[in-house]
Amino acid sequence: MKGTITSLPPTAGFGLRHPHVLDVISRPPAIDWVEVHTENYMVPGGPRLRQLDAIRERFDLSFHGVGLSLGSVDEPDREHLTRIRDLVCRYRPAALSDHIAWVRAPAQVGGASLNDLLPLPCTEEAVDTLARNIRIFQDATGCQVMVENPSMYAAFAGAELDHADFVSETVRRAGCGLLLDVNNIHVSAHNLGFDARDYLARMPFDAVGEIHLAGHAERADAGGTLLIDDHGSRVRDSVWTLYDQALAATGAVPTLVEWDTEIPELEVLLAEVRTAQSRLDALRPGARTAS
Amino acid sequence: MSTLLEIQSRFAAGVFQGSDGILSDLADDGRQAARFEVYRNNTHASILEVLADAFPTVQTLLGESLFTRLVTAFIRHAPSRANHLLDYGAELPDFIALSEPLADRPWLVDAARLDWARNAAYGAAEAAPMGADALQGLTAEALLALRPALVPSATLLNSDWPIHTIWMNADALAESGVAPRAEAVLTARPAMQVETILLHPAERALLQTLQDGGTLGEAAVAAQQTDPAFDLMTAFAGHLSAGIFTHRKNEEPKEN
Repeated sequence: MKGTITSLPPTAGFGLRHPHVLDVISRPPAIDWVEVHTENYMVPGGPRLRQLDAIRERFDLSFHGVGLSLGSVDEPDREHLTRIRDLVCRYRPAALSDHIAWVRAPAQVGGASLNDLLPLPCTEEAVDTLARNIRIFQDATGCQVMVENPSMYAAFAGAELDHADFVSETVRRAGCGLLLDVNNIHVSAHNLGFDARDYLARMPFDAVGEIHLAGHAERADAGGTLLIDDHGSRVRDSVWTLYDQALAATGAVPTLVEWDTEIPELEVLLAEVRTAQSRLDALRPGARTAS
Repeated sequence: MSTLLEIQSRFAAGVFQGSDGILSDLADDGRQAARFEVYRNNTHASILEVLADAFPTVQTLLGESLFTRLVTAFIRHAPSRANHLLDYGAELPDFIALSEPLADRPWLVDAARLDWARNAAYGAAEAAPMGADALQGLTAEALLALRPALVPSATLLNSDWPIHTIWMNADALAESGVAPRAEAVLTARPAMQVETILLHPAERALLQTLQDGGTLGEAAVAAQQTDPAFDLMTAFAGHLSAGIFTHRKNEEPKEN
């Protein structure tokens, strides 16, 4: 099944952000693929698109969306889907994804964008809503897409499923792939008080088409620390440990390092990519232990 | 048990209006109010960053704290209705124009219009520039009947304020304020760079006439009326070679 979710090579790449674009075009690093935020390229013309043309000539692309609001009570915006489809036609990405999250307020109360990946209650209604919207996303693009497990700071009352079941049921009912964000598991487990290793062990590994790694920040919180998923530092040791646990279950999977705030020199980011690649290289070819 | 519609409606109201109805939907662990505050702050910070990137001159003129207050009021008044925020901020100049606390700095409105023009130019549609060869061999009559269009990224801005000076020297003018003096600028992205240039009043009349769909002959008359001494041909040739003009739709040059 893995081959149908993504045609990305099972190697390590990184999230390409604006400060590094010209560097990467003029001196392409020795990696196979990069990921970009789909919404950053929803413009009629100009340098962004020209630069992505140049990137595409050298690298495979993963299109990672942050704006479809798959967890909204409303169906995905048709114009937004059309823009995604147009970009897919132009750039032929090897993977297409968005998040288990909502971004826009309900149309009934104005439909304002909150420009943030917001949490969902672990209810049957939310799973069914996600599954409906993900199927619309897949139908509109003609691709099997991946959705990313969330990072959360607060949980809702009245949960009908636990956090791991919520993600795996969403993937199962939608018939989509899972973009397994290991940092998000660590952050959410700490903030909401569940066991990260147990959550990870219950992910649908056959559906995993890509893994995300990133850094997070610690902030003082009432009675402890709150972990903030800010993608603003190196990947923490605790997250590398979870990554090893994930790889033992999935085998070699395309792995991405994200760095979105306090963006460092490209070389710092590439060092993180090499660390991920060395862990992928250490796997015996084809090794995949039972989960 | 709240429905998803209720939860998302109360969550959005909590972020934008500061209401706390959402707190009863969150798991009661004694920290829910602090945790919701993280979301409220993240949301505001992310939208603030979008608008700070789009309006650098306004931010410099106002200073960070006043700019943040402006953005907070704007988000409440006109939140983005789109799934992405690349187009968010188009209404900010008009919002500033209606802002009573900013009424003593009327130049801010045009500074915001210029910032927005530059922001929009960066991602505007591309168009094949009209080259000098398009004019070769034309009779004087045919030349004057030509109706070059401005490229899609072009915006003309006529201000009662020295808008080009403000844009160039926002740091210094943030403190001193600005004396009224009219300036006009052209913003465009003829190739990969967004450029903003100060226009002579006659040059402004020339470009405005062409943008409004006039012929080169009509544009020349408008420029001459503004300033009879203006060197029209040099200005036109300069803009032509800079790639500011394109062929109007349905007036593409015919293949021979």
